[in-house]
Amino acid sequence: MPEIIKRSGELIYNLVIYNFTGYEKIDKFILYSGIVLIYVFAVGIIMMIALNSKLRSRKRTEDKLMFIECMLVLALTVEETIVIGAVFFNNPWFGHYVWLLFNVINDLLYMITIFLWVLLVDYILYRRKEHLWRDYWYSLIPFVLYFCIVIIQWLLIHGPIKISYEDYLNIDIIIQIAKKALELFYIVKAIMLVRAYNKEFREPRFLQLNAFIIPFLLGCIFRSYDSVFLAMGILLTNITMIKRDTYLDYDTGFYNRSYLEFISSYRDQKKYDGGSAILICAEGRGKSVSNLIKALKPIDSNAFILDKDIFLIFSESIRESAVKMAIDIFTEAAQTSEEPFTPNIKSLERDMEESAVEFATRLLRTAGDMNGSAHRGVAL
Amino acid sequence: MSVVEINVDNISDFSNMIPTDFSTEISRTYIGGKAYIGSDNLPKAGVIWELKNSEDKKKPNKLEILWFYAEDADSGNELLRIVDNEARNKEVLEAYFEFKTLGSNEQNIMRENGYNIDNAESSVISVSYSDIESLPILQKEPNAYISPLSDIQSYQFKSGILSFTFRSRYGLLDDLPFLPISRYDPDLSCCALTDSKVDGFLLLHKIKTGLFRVELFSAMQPNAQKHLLNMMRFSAHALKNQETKDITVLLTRHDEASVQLISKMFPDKRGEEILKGHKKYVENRKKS
Repeated sequence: MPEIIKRSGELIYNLVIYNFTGYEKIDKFILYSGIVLIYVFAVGIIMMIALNSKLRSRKRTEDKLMFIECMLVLALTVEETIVIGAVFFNNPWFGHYVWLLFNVINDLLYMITIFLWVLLVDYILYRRKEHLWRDYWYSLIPFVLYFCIVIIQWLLIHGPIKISYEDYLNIDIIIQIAKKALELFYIVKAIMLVRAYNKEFREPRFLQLNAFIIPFLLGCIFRSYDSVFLAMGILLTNITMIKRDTYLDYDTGFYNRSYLEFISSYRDQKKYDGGSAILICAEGRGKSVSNLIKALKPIDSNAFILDKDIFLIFSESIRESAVKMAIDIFTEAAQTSEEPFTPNIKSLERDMEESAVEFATRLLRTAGDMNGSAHRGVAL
Repeated sequence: MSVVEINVDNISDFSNMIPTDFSTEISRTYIGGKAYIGSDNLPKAGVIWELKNSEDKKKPNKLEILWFYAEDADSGNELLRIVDNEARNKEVLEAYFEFKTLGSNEQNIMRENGYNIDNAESSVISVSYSDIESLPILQKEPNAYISPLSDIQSYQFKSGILSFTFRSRYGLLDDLPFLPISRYDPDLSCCALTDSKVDGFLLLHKIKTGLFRVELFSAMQPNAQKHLLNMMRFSAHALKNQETKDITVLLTRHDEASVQLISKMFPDKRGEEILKGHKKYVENRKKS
C-alpha cells in the first residue's frame, strides 16, 4: 500500500514539475487529450466570437480587449499546431532554434493574454481609457526583459561560451519561475483592483475573477493543458460579461431598467441606506440628452436609460446644492447646444422609511409621469 | 438703533470695521452677517457667521462665527441673540469660533452669551514658499495630464465639481457647487484630467496678495494617490513662477485625511495659538 502511494506521489510530482510521468500510456493520454482540448477550446472561442455580435463589432473598449484576448488564444492554438505537427512528423527543419523561438512566442502570447485580462478588469471597474495607457505602460517592461533574457540564454548556449545542457536547464527554470511570478503578479493586481473598488463603491460590477483565476491556477499545476485552461478562463469571463450586458443599453452604454430593479433589491439585501436620483426627460431628444449625460455626468455615478427619451442619474448620497448644480448644468448645456432644448429635470430622494425597491418604484412612477406628459402612449 | 443685514451691497459701508476678506465672501450661500447701527447712525457691532453641514444629513449642523466686533455690551448681546435665533432656526447643535485675537470686551460678551473660550492650537497650518520648495517629494516634474485651472473649459470645471459633490467631497466649503471657477487662482490651482474629465482637484483661493488657502484637494480612484502627488508637484512648480516669493499657503486640517497628510508632509509645523470658543444648543435634537 505505501508503495502505491509513493509511486502515485512520484507520478503526480513528475506530472506537475516535469510535465512528463515516464509512464507511456499516461503520457500519451495527456498528449492526445491536450491536443483534443486545444482544438475544442479554439472552436469554443471561435463560436463565442461568432455568436456575440458585440464582440464582432467591438465598439466598446471591453469588447476590444476581449476580442484581442480571443485572437491571442487562437494564435496560441496555431503556434501549438505547428509545434505538434513538427513533433509528429519529425520535421527536419524544426531544430532546436525554431523550437526555442516557438517557446518564446508561446510564453509571450500567454503572458500578454493575462496582462490584457488585468486591463479588462480595470476597465470594467473604472471605465477610464486614458488611465489604462497611462498606468500600465510600465507593464510592458517585463515582456521586453523576458525577451532579452531569452536572447542571452540563446547566446550562452550557442555563442562562444557554450554552457552545458545542465546549466541551460538551470537558467530555463529561473526564466520559467520569473514568468510565472509575473503572471501571478497580474492576477494579484486584479484582485487588489477589485478589493480597492469594493472598498470605495457599494455596487456590483458582475466581475467574477474566479472565472479566470481558477483555470489559470489549474494551468499552473497541469502545464500540459495551460493554454486550454487559458481559453477556458476567457470563455468563462465572457459568460460573466454576457450577464452584465443584459443590464446595459448597448447604444448609450447606460444601465437599463432591469438593472434599476436588480440594484434596488441588491441594496435592500445589503441593507444599504440612502439614495438620490435625478431624472432627465426631453421629448424626441433622447440622443441629445444621452450625449449630454455622457459629457457631463459625474465620474463614477450611474446613468440609466428608462425609455428612449428618459434618463436617470443615481447617487448614493447627494446634497441639495449638488442637485441644484446638476439641474443647472444640464439645463444650460441643453439650452446652449447646437439645437437648443429645455429638458424636464426632477430630483428625488429616498425617504428614511422607504426601501430601495420602493424608491425605485417611485422613481419609475415619476419617470412614467414625466414621460407621459412629454409624449403619451409610451408606457414605462 | 437698528440691526441691518450685512450683504454684498452694503458691506462697503462697514469697511472701517469689517476685514476686506469678507467683501466677496459675504455673498456666499451659507454666510450671513448682521450689523448693529447706533442712534448716531454709526455701526456699533457686527457679526459674520457661516452655517456648516446644513445639507449633510449624517453630520450635525454647526455655525462658525467668522468675525465679531462690538463696541459695547448691549450691541454685542443683541447680535449674539440674533445668532442664537439663527442657530435655533437652522437646528444647529454647536456654534464655535477660532480667532487669532479677540478684544477683551468681545470676549466678555461672548462669555456672557454662553461661549466657553480657551486657548488652543489652530486647525490651520501656514506654509511658506520655502517650506514647500524644500520638500524633496515635490521636486520632480508633475505628469502631463495635470492641467492648470486656466487651461480647462468651464463645463469641465463644473462637471468636475459635480463629480466631487456627488461623492460628498466638498473640501472646506459646503457651498462648493455654487462657487465660480474665478474664485480659484487659475495658475496655482490645477486638476487631473482623464478622458477629458476632471478626476482630481487642487483648488487654491487667493485671500489677498501672497496669501492662498487650499479649499479642495481631492482625487478619485483608481489613481487618487498618484493624482494627489502630481497635483501638489504642479502647484509647487507653479509657485516658483510667481513674481513674489513672499507667499503663504493655508492648509486646514478639516478631516482625518487632511490631518494625516499635513502631518506627514510638514511634521514640524504647528498651528498658531488661537482663541477657540464654542457653545452647545442642547435643545436642538441631533439629526437622525
